[in-house]
Amino acid sequence: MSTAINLLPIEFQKKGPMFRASEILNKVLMVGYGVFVFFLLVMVGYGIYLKTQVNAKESSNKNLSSQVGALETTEQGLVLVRDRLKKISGVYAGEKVSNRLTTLQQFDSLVDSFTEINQVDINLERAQITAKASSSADLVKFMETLIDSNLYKAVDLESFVYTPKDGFTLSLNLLE
Amino acid sequence: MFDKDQKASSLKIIAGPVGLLVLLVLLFFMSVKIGSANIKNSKSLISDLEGKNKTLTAKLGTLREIENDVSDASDITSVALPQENPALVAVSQIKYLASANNTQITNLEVGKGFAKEEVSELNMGFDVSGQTSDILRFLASVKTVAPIVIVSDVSLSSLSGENIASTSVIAHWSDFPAKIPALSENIETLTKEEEKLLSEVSELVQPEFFELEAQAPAPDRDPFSY
Repeated sequence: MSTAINLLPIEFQKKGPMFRASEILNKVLMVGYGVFVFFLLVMVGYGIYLKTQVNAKESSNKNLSSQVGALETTEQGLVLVRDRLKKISGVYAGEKVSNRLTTLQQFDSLVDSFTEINQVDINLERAQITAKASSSADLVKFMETLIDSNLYKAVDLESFVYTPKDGFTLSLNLLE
Repeated sequence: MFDKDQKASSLKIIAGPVGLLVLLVLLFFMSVKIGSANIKNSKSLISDLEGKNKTLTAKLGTLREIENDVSDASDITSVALPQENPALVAVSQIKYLASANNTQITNLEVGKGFAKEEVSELNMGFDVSGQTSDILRFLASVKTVAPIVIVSDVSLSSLSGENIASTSVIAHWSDFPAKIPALSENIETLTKEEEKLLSEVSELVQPEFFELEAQAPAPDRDPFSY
């Protein structure tokens, strides 16, 4: 019976479970490092692509910023217009007297020929007028005009005076 | 002894690949960690820049759209609500209106302006005389001039055929805005309400300014020539 004799040192012996495991591991390592290098290449490539994208966006941003900067005067104008309009709107919101005057002026143009408005008190709180009608016919006409005009929601009769000399004198509170 | 050497040699054989495997795993995790962080940062930067670009593009479009109109609008609104006390211009406008409506202005008084944070006010008072209908037309037309003047109180009375309306009005002014929005901040065009108000303000009667032309010096008159 022959016996296999191997005179090589143990470390050069290419057999045994450890050697096989080592071989398998080496193959796994080769594949692993290959995958790793491929992964690194993909990642670096993707990084370069993203960097290019960032540069392009930054360049576009810079270009747009300079174009917007060139229109700064327009932007200032728009900001100014908005600011003025906001404040003007606030001023107009508190404006009651002018509106009451406009309404009264419209009413006065209707009654101008037959009744004289000879006293007007208009302020933020109220609009009061005193009108004179020389005859009862004018008085009726005045009241009809006032009602038909639809300019006022309500009219309070403050005073009503008749004298043979001046005729009828009415004092009215006009509510819009 | 032989067994011991064989065991040590076997371990030596396997140690190299195992070490390399551990190194591969470590390198893999490190590269994943560093790479994903860089990619995340770049993507976040791109997203941020895209947002800014979108805002800037929209802003640029808006500014180009309004470029031609905004100058006139800012002039009109600045006259309607000026930066400084408009006493002189307001008085001039009131006198112009009075003349246009056949009325006369007397006892004109200009009070001290009240500087306020938002809109400052200047109280003025005067008497208007004329026909009642003319006075009412004049008073109703006060709100149609620029700078904006608001009637605050009217007391009209007729005494022995003469109609006089004691009137108080308020003129307004306000400081211009001190800063504009940041470059990257979005900007919007005027709303429908603002456009409507701008159209109303555009119809206000603008004050007329005259520029006196410079004249060349004239020779002195001879005082003995008369």
